[in-house]
Amino acid sequence: MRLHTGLLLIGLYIVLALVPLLVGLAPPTPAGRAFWLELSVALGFVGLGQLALQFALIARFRRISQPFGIDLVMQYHREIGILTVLLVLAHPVILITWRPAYARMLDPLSGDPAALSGVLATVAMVGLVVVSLWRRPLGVGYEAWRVSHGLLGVSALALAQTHVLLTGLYVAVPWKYAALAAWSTAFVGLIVYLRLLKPLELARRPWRVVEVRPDVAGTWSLVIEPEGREGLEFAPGQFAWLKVGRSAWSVEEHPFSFSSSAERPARLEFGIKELGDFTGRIGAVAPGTRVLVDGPHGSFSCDFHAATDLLLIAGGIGISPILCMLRTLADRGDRRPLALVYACSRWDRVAFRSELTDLEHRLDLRIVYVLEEGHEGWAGPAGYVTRELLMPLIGDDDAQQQVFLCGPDGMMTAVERILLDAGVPSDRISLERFQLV
Amino acid sequence: MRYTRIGLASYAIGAVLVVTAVGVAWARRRPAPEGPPSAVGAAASGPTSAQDVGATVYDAECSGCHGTGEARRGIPALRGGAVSLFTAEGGREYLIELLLDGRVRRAETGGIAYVQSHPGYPRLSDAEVAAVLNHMLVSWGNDAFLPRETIRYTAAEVAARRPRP
Repeated sequence: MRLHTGLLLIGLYIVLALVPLLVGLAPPTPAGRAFWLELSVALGFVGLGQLALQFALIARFRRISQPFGIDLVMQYHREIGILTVLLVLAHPVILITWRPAYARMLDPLSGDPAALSGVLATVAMVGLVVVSLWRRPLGVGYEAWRVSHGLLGVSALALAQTHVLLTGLYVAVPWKYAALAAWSTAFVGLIVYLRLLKPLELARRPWRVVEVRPDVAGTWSLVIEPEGREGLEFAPGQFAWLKVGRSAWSVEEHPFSFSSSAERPARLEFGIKELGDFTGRIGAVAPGTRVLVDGPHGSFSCDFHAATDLLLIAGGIGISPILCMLRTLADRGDRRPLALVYACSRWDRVAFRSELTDLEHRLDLRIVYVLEEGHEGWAGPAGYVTRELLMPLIGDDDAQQQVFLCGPDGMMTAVERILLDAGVPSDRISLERFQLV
Repeated sequence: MRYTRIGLASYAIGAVLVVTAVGVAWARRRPAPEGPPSAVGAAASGPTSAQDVGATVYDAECSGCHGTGEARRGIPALRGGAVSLFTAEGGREYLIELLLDGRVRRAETGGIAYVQSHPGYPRLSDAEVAAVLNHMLVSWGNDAFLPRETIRYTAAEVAARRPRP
């Protein structure tokens, strides 16, 4: 079912990416020209299609990201973005290689606005990719990157569109002109909606910080409640983008997993570890601070899989969405067998220990703590999560076991490898990366 | 693992799009005109006949709309039509300016308002503009209608009409 939806969406994606090319090819078209010229133009149109679709990928549509997982959609956005720039670069490169005289079009003072808009669109796209790939070495902060990324993206699309319309060869009739303009306006509209209109909508449904509760060193629970409204329905394991004490249009927002029970939608908790600029200051957030919640998002949830038992594997603050699932299952009186492997650096860094002990009593739950540095007297497993440790917990072939894995990148990669090698089918493994961007 | 799959998906989708573009280009391709390949490029650096340059520029820049000089929907014929324009008063200069600057004007025929437009090609060199105009004057049987004393366009003549910044 999810596979079909996924394939359907990919098919739709390809068709949408080809829309500019199809509009260009719809009659009346100019007579055919030399192969290299036609290829160059076709690649340009395909590049334009891809460029516009980039806006749809990040527009946070649940239906679109659900079958794949939003982290994968973001990853795809990055990879196809690089590919798109290559397609767009191929357009002038082929032209100039084929007929070197075309190199004159690169001169910004040539007085040809069609060529100029094309050159500027390409420069914007290349700049966008360069800043994204080498953001840290270039010393560009996250917020500055995000603003520049949006502006460069919109400019690139607008300039590319201008280039096509001014060149005018394939869109010489008004309806083609209008169709193409409407098409790219719709995609820019998505970003206008996401960054300008949706924040307004969210600001009308504000939340307030009730408490920032410290847990073990460096870990906090941010607790929020809605202002005079009902709560937020979500599936246990999902996350939301939060703007804490910021204006609705601030670019400073952060994705956090819910850690409270989905059965208690009017009091949300988020498990947060001090890792970056924002999370490092989380303990200083005062009660009463306004919080805007964009969510729920994500496909990492026990509610999205039919399973007879669950194997949950968490590393560090990756416990948040897993804790959310456990709390929810406990509130629902779920009796399925559950196993939790929880890896942490040291015993005094194991967050939410008392809650987990409590949940062990309310659920059919077995918890295995794995400490990277076992202390004196530690009888449990030490080091990393290993194959030997996981094997007894992995269900046999016909078991309907679903594995949920959330932790730091290195651990996720290693554990996923172990699971696949142990014969766990990849569709029985759900993953969530907490370093989304 | 999962990320590797996404990488593969990106390349697969990219490949589908590139293959589509190649297919479209292949279906629409038309042989380049006679003459050495890359004649326009060679025009800047090496000796080649002005006729070849004219034909090559025409093929790359004009043939998309004008085909082989015939009239098409919304596009007047160059066959015959070009000579009429050329021989009209001021026509010779008009054609140079049309190629250099382009034209957009509103017109009305039989109560239907429409926009006539022709793109400008400021990126073409003086020699290329002259060559493509000459090509047009002698192609598709146009030469038969040309007055006997016609003087060919020259690069200097084009240069004189090029707008100065």
